[in-house]
Amino acid sequence: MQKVLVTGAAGFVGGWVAESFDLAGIPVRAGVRRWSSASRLVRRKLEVAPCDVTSVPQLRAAMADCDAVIHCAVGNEEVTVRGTENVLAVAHEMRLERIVHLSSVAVYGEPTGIVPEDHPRNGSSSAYALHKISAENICEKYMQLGAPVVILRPTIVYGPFGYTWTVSFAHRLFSGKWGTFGKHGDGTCNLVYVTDVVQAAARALTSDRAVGATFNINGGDIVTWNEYFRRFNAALGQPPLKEQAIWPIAAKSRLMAPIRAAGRFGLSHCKDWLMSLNAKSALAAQYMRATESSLKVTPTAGQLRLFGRKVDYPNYHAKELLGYQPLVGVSQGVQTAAAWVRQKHLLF
Amino acid sequence: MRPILACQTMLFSADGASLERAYRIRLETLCKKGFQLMGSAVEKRYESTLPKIAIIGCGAAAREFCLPVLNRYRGFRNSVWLVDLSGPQAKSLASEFGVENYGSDYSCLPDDLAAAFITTPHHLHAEQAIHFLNQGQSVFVEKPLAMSALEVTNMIAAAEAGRATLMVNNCRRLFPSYCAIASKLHATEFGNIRAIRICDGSPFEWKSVSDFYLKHADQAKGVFLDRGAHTLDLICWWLSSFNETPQVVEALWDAMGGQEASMDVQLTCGSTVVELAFSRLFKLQNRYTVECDTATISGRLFNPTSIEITRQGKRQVVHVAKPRGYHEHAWQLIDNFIGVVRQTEEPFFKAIDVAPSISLIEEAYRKANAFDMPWYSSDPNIPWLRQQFSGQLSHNVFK
Repeated sequence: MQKVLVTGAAGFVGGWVAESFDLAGIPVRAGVRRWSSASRLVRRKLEVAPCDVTSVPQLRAAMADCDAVIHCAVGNEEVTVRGTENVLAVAHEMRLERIVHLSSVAVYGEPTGIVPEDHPRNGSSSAYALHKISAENICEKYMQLGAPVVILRPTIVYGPFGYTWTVSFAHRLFSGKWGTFGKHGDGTCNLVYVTDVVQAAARALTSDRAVGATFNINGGDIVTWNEYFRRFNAALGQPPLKEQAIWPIAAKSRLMAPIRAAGRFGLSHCKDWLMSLNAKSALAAQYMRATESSLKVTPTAGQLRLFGRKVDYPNYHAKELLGYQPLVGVSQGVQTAAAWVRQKHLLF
Repeated sequence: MRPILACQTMLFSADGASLERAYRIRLETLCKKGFQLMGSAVEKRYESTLPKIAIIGCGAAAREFCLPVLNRYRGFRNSVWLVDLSGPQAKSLASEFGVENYGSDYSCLPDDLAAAFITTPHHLHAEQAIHFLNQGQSVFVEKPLAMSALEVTNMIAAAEAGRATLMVNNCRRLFPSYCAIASKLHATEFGNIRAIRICDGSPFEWKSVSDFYLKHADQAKGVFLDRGAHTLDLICWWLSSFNETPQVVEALWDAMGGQEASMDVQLTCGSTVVELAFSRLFKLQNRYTVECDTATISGRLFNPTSIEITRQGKRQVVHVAKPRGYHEHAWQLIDNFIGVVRQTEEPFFKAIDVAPSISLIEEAYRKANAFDMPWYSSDPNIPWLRQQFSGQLSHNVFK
């Protein structure tokens, strides 16, 4: 019996890997941390299993009868770092034939220019980058122990079911408060459509030359961020975007930074209390809605830097060793994402 | 308060009245009653003694809704019996709330049990409720009441035969905002209803102990049965004063052999068009809009305390009650059920009132077709995957 376990299958990329494999007839087990997060997966009759990567017994049960694992689970430090350690340890112990680890180009920090896989890693830009670097270090440790590990570093993954680069930008564009940013938006938008990442993961499972290697996984077309905003906006059927002056946005971004941090802290530490306050105080509810709405349309400082940064994560290593070839261009990807957003009533 | 209770008593016992008519009249009284009830916070009633009550199913609904309310009554520890197929689950919940009696089947229940709460998976509601109703024990069922109109009919028949009360946790009926809207619509204050639009969606986060929500059995339906149980009930309630029955025009879902995570449903009721959208994947706008001849009523779905009325371009926010938490409405309904069991109160509404919505849900599921989903059908990578792996599935592709 051969089967692929997908960890983090309730997430954006993990969900696409599990669904695409199932659609293609490849036996797959979708691992989820909580039952409630499996709503997307159970639309199909695919196998869903509890798979909290911080629990070794659950991982052992989830990997039983599997030949390979595609590790997409991501979260806080415990999930991303300790979870990866557990996945690698259990997969190695159970002698799985292939372990594909989904990392990110975030491990490079905020570089400019051409960034091949051997570019130095830099975790100073965010906790996410730092955790991904730690996870990659664990993968490398197991590579040296002889585990058949492949690391994939996708770029800006977008498409249906994606929140960060799809739904949240649809909200921004629909708000009418978003625009293009002149030269500050002319940085490279390294978009890769989500099923192209699935293709790369599938190739990493089967290519003998992939073992022990790390690959950038980028899309076929390279556009600027301004261009992405324009194309996505047009696909959503919105009025043309206007160019915005950068300094008021940068100022607002700085002003909103502590509010954003406080909101994040509040939601992770006292969500129930905030929800109760929201229910019991009309004023608090109004303030929270206004803040949420304002945060949604305000880019973070990191995003503003990203929009202006010219960087290319070349694919040639993946093309040469994996035979990877992105099949969904930006035009098709953006049209598909916009059609999905409209159908799901996410424009508001 | 008293005249309304008397009116409800009369209506509930009016055996000869047609079901539909009784339903409509009772809802009229409910609208008025909602205003009276919603102003007050949930009272602490430690002085009241709890009748002997069983809770069947020791999952999230028992923990979130039932036990916090029952816990406030005198004699709680030894008047409540927790039953769950999973004995350890029953024991764990019993120890969390200090309940002395628990077990894994009905054999642990006392002979003089007064009532039961059914908080088990949806497809078990009817069978379990009927078991208790047949013995003359009143039953409070977590929503949805049942999976089909036939099950509802059987449950109501069992309640009548056992002279017991059957209630359901459709607690949004107690939202003052919804009561206010029902009152205005039934009084045709703004003329006829032209259209109702509701978007109801957020990521599914119910703290379900088991995986029943996600089972692929026919019984496990998705977001529409779950959230639609509230929304369709509202629609039926709001439209209940019109001499038309809502009909399903079109239903589209994203189920692909499993259960749906998003569903769009279009209904008509006479000349009224109803458009509903549900999702358990993403947060939707979560607003309702009711367009009438002379005004539009709108608001946030989870704001029970205010509505917005737009007339001739002018928008007015009407506050109908003091803010309170969502759970408090469910708790109030449970308190009401205890009062009914102790024969000191009449039910705010009975299970029979939500029967039309269950029929409508069943009809929508019967008519449901798949959305057009080009992100699957036109994706070039999926055929590539199929082609790549087609010859390799009979042996280990990884060697």
